[in-house]
Amino acid sequence: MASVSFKNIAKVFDDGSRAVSDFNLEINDGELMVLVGPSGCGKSTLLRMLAGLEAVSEGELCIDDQSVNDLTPQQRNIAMVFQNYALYPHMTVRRNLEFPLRMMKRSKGEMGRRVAEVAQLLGLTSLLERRPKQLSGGQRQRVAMGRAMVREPRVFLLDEPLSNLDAKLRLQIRSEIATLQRRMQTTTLYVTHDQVEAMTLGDRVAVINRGRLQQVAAPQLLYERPANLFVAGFIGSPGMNVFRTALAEDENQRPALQWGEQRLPLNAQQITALAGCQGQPLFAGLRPEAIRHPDAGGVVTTISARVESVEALGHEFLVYFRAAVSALDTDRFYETGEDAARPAMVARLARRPQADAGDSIALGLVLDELCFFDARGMAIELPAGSGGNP
Amino acid sequence: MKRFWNVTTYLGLSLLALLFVAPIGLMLVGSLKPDARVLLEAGTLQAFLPDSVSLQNYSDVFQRVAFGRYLFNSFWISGWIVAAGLVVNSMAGYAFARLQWRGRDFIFMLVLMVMIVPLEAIAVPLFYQVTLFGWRDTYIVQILPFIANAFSIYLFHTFFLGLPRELEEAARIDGAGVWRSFVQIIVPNAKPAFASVAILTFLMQWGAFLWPLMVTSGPEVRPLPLGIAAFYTLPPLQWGDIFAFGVMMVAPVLVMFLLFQRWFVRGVAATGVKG
Repeated sequence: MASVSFKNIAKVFDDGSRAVSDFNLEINDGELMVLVGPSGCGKSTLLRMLAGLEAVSEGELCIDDQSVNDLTPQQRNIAMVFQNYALYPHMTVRRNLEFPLRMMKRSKGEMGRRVAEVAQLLGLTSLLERRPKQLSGGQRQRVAMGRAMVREPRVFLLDEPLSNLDAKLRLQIRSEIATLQRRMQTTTLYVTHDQVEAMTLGDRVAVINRGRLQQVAAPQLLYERPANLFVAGFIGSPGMNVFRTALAEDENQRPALQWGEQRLPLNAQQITALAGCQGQPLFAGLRPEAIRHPDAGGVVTTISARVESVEALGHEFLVYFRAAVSALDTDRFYETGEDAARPAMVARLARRPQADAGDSIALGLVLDELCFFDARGMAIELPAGSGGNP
Repeated sequence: MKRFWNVTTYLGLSLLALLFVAPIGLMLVGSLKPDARVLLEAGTLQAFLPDSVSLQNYSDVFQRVAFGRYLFNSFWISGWIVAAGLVVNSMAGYAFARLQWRGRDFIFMLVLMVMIVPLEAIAVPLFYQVTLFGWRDTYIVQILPFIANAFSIYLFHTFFLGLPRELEEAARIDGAGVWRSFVQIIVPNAKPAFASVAILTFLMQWGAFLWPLMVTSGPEVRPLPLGIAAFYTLPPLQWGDIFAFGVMMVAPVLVMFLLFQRWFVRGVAATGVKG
């Protein structure tokens, strides 16, 4: 077990492209940290740097306060599960599991005992004499996990370990990984592009975009209080509805938020937080579940919307709609700085709306859950105790 | 219509196959006939009919030349070239494919350039060199210059590039160094490449003629192709004996090919190289 710290880490490849910039992250002893971000954001590069498979261009990488920048992979005592498992095809499951122990020159007796333990733990006992190609995807995944666990490493690295599995198996193995990690209490760094995986697995989740850390927080905090527009759009499926707005006054001369011609009332904490934002560009965000049927709980105000489409998910309904304001494409905003309009906003409703595509309906907004962002897309902090971001 | 084309295609292919097999058939049948008839029937279909089978020509071969010696020499020379070549060229191919070192790509380009230089072009300077070393009429002079082989390096390089990089990375993380991951992880997964390189090298060396002719002078160290050439200079010219010698010379190659054919095909398919 060990703690890991990335200190001002950067990675510049030979061709001059920069995969990671000024990256700082502390992973506590025994913690399961998930690195999540879109494809090509640099998360796998970070993992490979920690594994010793890529050199660190700048900064310092430490395991237990010991710099590992110049250590070879074998000197770091870490274990890694690869996306394609990287099982040795010419060896049986038993030989695959034994391989790391063999490299450590462990005695035959100890190897046998460790392999038996791990095989028992992962349900591989009956498969020990098979070759990898005789195993199913899920079984191969388990062998890869087993090979990583068998040597009791200081840090566990998992690089998108579930992406080659079908949806049902992914769910099952995901919970197995969580259980195993809790039982073993080994510091774990888990890389994925799947934010559902990140949210369900991580003690904490680090969101990365274009080689930079965007936010690191517990999953729920990440969801409720995104640090910037990228996190707001990336975390959650569908992501947060973000719209351009400005502070205005309602008919009682109280500060309110523009929603086309309509004014959205603000609560006391929101008014305090936005006090300095008079006359400045402002973004506000609402999660799809904060847009409800008008008669649902928590609704503060009602807007009118035109339905674009309805997706029935069984237990809930996603309603894509247009309203007086248009939604912001947060990805594009981050890529180009443009305030590009996204086709539709989305609401997550508990009951099927009595409307079809093209119909107008009324929707209720739970305004206490609003998040606010400044013109650069950074979150505006709300005082503690309010519903949205602090 | 489809059937017609099928029949035509197969007919055409069969004729073509026959064309290729005919000389080998002629050799095999001729080797079993009395010497006198071989020349008499040449040019007629009779030449392909094994109507009187005798092993006389085979025993003549053993009496007229030191066939056993030639055979041993050929195996000894080709065997060493294949074995040492597999070790040297696979390591070189790996270094070019996977290891990071300064000048790698430039040197690899030089290696590829060597592929287009035929032996004939360097035979004379090479001859001077080995004469200087006092290596003429030895095995080593027939083995050493052919161990490192640009084409084999290229084949291994291509194959290693196709192996998932994660295998080596996993091995490194599991605690294996470069050498160990090459020997324990890469080599066992590159059997098809080893098989194709072994077969190609063996075939090439089995038929070597020019170089052994230049650097050897007696049957003690000469390989089979020089042995069969001796028949043309040993009167009387007996075609039956030559055919028998030819059959015995081709047989080991055929056996080797049949033994490794499965891997050979896989190796050629995997490296994308046509025989």
